[in-house]
Amino acid sequence: MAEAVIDLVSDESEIKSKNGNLECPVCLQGCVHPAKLPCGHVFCYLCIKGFANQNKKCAMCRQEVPMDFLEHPNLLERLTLEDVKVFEDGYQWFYEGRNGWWRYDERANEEIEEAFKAELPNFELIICGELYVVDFKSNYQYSKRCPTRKRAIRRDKIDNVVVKGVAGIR
Amino acid sequence: MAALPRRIIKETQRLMQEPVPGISAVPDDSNARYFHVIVTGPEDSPFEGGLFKLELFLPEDYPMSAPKVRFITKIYHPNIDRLGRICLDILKDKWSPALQIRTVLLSIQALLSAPNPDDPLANDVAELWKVNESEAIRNAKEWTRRYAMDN
Repeated sequence: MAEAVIDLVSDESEIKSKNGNLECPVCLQGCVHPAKLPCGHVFCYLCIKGFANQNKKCAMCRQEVPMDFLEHPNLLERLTLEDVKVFEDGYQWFYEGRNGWWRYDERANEEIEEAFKAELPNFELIICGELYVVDFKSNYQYSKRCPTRKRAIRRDKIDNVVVKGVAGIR
Repeated sequence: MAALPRRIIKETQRLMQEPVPGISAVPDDSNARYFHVIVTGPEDSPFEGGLFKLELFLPEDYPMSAPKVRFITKIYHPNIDRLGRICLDILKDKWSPALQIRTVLLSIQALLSAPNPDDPLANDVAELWKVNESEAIRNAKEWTRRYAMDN
């Protein structure tokens, strides 16, 4: 097989998005929960989870992602309760995972709300590079590739939910 | 049809706003994941002066998996077979989600400047390229004239 002459790292440029965040080289949007790998490259936490689940290598330089990185990520910003937007009526979106309820990250939360307000019966969302369908009739989120992988979702007030963390980050 | 992921929207906008010299990639009117591509043959290569049509498709799990790219215009090249399939590492096991449509097409254009007959897909072409390079280059120029010009 011919080897491409392109060099991922030399192609690297630190682009800032509109809200001042570093642009993630995977989703091409401002980093949500930016995390830094040992090689120094920064991505959204969930974008790292996407490629770490696939081949365990940094998307920029192909250096290995440490085994425990997803459990103990090197986050560049501290997680705070204000990270996720609460809608006018005091509600936000949650999903059921590892023995309890988790908040979606800011971007997913807003995308789901947008579809919900538009009264769509369901809509597709990419999480960790995997395509999921959010079904508002049954209040489930399932993997499009593997529909048996499904999780309950709910739109609720934070006071009604015991929350484990945000998008897999405690 | 499902809404397009934001990354694809962004890449498409950037391809339109800051086009790559010598490369055009335009999404199909009815399928925004399917691109009509034209790559110009690089200077000082046997493909110079040719306009090569390709098709590029972004699969459902893009960018976690690579785009599917194929030459539509016939081309005489050791790493491209008669069906237009391209043997290039970044389209297979060396794919990374940090690569984009832009970088993939640049790599393909670079492959036209640097054929690699030691790692062939089109075996007969690669064989000639190794034993008689000047004849292979003559063939490549002839195919470029015949299939990639005035169309």
